Amino acid sequence: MKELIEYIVKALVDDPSSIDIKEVTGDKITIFELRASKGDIGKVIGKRGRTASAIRTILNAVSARQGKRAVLEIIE
Amino acid sequence: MKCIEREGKSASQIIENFIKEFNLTLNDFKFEVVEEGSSSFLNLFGSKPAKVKFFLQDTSENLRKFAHDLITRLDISYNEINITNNDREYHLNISGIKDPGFIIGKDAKILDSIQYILNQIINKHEKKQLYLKIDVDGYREKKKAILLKKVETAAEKVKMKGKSITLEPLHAANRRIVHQFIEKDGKLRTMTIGEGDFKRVVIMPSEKLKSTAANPGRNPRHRPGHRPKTKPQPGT
Repeated sequence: MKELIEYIVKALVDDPSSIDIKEVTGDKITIFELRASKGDIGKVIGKRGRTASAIRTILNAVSARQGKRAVLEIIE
Repeated sequence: MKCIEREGKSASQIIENFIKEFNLTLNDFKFEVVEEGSSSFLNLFGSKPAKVKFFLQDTSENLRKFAHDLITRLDISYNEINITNNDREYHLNISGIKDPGFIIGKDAKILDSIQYILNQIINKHEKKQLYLKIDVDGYREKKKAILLKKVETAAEKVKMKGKSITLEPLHAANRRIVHQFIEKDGKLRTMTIGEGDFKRVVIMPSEKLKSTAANPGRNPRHRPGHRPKTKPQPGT
């Protein structure tokens, strides 16, 4: 799952090396904490959060199929 | 994939010139050094020129790669991706997916998300704006046919009764289909009412028909979506 987020986000930003994703595994929910460089954070979020919500939609669908729950948090 | 061969003094120089010539970045192409140039001993014997082959990726191939990368990471296997394009509009049809319902999602939400992200990715890598559409086993085509059928019956009703009909809330892409379909019919026109996710298309008879409407009892002034201001009742 982390690989999926990483692939999408890295393809969207200008500086892929600054992308940092941390996986925090809880009892039921896995939280992915995403950090990006200042200039790139807007690209991940998108206009009116459209890109972010698209990533979350895909993430939710894939994780639900594996019987898990996942949350993507974008940290400034 | 396009293949271009260049000769020059040294491999690095050829590449540098090539980048300048076509205004590219290193990500835009692959190359292969065919012959490392060698300046011969003391320049007495003819020095060998360096030869470099460049491989330029063309758009649909690029697209195929991105789509493949993304889809396989979604844990989905497919048979093939069929790409057709019309100028800047690219149409991707993915076929042979085991569980197409999953990738499409409710109201094609997941497919739309994938399409949106792929649009973002491809437009980051291409110089000119491309418009990408993704379809799974002709799903969108089927949906479009169903929608048009609905619109057709509604349009017939509007023509018969001279009254406007408001359709259910639709996505922007679907509303566009309705608008374009109704536009062809000179006797009808459309407009949109509502905000955000609740935008609805109204099909109504065009002005011309209204003025010549044979049935004056139908209230030709009626405008859908227009709520006349109610005057405060005196005494209340």
